[in-house]
Amino acid sequence: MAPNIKIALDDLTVNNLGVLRRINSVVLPTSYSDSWYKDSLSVGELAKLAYFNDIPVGAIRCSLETPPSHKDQTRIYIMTLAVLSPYRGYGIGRKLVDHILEQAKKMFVKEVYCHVWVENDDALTWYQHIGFEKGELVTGYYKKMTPAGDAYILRKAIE
Amino acid sequence: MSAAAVPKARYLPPKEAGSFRQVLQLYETRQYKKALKVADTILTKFPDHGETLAMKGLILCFSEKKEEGHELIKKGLRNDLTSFICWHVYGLFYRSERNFEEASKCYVHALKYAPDNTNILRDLSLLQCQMRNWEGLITSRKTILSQKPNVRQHWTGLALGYHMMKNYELAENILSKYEETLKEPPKEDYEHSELLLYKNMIIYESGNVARALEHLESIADQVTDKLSVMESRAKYLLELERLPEATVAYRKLLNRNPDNKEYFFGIERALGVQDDVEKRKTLYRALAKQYKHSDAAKSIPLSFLSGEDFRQAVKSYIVDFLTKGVPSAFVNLKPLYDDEAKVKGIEDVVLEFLKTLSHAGNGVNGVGQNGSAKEKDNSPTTYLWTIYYLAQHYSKIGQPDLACEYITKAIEHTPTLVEVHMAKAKILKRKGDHVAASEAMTRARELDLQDRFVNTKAAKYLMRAGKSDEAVSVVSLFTKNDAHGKGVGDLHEMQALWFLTEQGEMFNRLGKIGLALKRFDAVKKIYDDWWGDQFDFHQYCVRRGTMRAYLGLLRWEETLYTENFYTRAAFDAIQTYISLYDTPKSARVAAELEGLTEEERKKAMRKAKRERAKQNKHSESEKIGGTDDDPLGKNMENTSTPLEDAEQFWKPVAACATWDQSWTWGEEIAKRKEQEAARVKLDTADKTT
Repeated sequence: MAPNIKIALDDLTVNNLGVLRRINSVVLPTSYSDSWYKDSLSVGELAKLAYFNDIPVGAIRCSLETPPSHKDQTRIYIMTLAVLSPYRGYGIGRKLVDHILEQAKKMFVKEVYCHVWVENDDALTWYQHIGFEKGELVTGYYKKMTPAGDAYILRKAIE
Repeated sequence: MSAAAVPKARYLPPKEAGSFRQVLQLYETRQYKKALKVADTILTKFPDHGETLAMKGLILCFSEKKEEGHELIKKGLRNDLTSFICWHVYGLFYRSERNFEEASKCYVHALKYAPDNTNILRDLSLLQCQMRNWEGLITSRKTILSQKPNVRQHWTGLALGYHMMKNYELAENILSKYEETLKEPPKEDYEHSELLLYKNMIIYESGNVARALEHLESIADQVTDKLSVMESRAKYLLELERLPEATVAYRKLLNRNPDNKEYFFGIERALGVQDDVEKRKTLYRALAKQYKHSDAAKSIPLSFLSGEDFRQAVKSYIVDFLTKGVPSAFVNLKPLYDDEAKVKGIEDVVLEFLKTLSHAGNGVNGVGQNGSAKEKDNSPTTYLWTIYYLAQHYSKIGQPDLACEYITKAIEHTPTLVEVHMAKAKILKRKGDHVAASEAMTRARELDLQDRFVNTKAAKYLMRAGKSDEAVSVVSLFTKNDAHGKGVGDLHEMQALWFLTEQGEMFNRLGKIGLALKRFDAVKKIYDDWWGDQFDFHQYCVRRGTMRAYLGLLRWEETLYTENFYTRAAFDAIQTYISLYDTPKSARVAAELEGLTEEERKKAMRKAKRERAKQNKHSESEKIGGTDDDPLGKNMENTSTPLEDAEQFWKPVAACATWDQSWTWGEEIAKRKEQEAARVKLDTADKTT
């Protein structure tokens, strides 16, 4: 590990919302609406920014999914997770996901899950590396892609 | 004064005389409403009583009825021209208007009829400080002192007069005499300690450094400001060429604060090495070792080293900054950019350093998504700060394309870093592309909305790009906003010089001359306020005994109108007024139409009309700012005396000892005034013949 590296997480606020926007827009292929970003401010600990030597370089944004029927579980869904490419391999994504897993525990939520594009091998490997299980295939999940892209569900059960 | 000596018009029967004393008392305690009532009861019986009229007027002035009050004061004075009260009141009125010259005339009149009145003498002495009338000050202070010799401030006040007249001996004597009046000097007393240091300052300024040192040693134990004693001692020893002792003195100072460059320069001279590069090098090597955290010990050698020595030194200095991620690395090195050889040296060093990084951490040809951090021996931020440095470097040395190349790389690398967007904006600004520059600055701002520095920069860049309304909206995110929802009024109130100047210059570029002049005038008003603001300190500082700080203030005020912000706004205004004079509106139109065909003429007229309409269209945000009846500055634009108006901006500059003789605005104005005078003379000659 290179010397002098400091990684820290911080809250998403109205003043640094532009950072989430910028990170997502350069890392992710999908674009998100203004209202989506605005809503990001209301999810509390489920949205976080990651800092590398005091520079914001990564972000996670989840939502709490309360099911219509009480028989189903409440789950946390990772909507976006992004780290600027020069800063990958330093455990920043891991730290962001760990933070969400911790929140899940605190909230007695039993599952954290997300969608990953079938062709994104790096992401598929990475999620499994940190303990997520590959689940069912959702065909045509990425509607805006031509042709529409398929996605795997990746989930982690919380004990 | 006996009753017999009272002139008939001033005489009041005992009952009313008592009421009048009551008025004075109520005025002193600021019970203006009651005071007015009592004054009115006197006036129903004696409607022409001068002193009562004057007092009533004064109270009205402080109750926001200035005009009515002014009239009454004048009437009161006319009715009783030999009353010191009436003159004193008139003086107070002028003083509240900050018309210090007229005020002091009134006090002088008042003193004619009451030569020993301490209140008037004190008020006069304050005005004399404001007007820098030191001779006058000595006279009034002498009288006050003879009346109340047991008060310290009256002694210091008199010493100040002599000091300013450069009569150091008398100034010192006065302070010594005061010390003799003390049975025992107070211990651990800050005010007394300041007085001693003031005396020391006087002795030093008299030029007798040896005696100043001697005196300093004699007071050292009683002084609470130990640092100041240490600094003066080192300075005096150096000036007296008592070098070994000076060296010790500067060493002690460096131990206290190893980041004060003055101490380093002091020790250089004390050791006599200031002209010998080799010896200086050795000295700083030792100092840098001793004071490991001192930036000065490392950065000063960069200014005198050259060749390979410089390269070595700058390399360790810069690389340290870049690996630590110090955003201000370039700002620290900027002073070296006057020297071409050094610029080249820096460039080589940074490019070499970049090469060592290009295999790791730059995210381009470095490790992929799943690469392990173990392979990386350099943090990606080191690479980032290095290319950020190079972008600023190339922009500074006039290579904007290379600068753009590096800053684009930096933005691709880390688009979330505020600094890289700001640097891009600056590079584009230097290239003259103000619109793109302001877009880049806005991108920087969006990353951190609570950073006022970036907000300010973004607003400034918007104004440079001519985006008036947007700029006001952005800057208003940090101001107290009035009913219109914008902060222009608050920025006037907060004396935001940068904003007023930038906005004025923008209005000028947009052809909104009135508004431009309005803003330049607002800048002048702020400086006038600062000049006026010192008034309170003439009393306060002398009373509290903080004479050294007070002297600092007085001397700063002497250079006030040569400060950059004032001269910039003033020269903008003068230039604008001169062009208004050189090409009056009618002449401008005529010149444009000359030699055109009928068709072209019509076209030009239409175009001019469109332009005028554009310039006359004012958005909501432009209409605010200031409470006066001419918010758009139309009266200023349509002035019939542009040269005199320009002169108002020039006069205070020329009155400063520090004005730069290369400023030719005074001549430009004078030249035109002479031409004008010659023309008027010719006109009248024509008429009479």
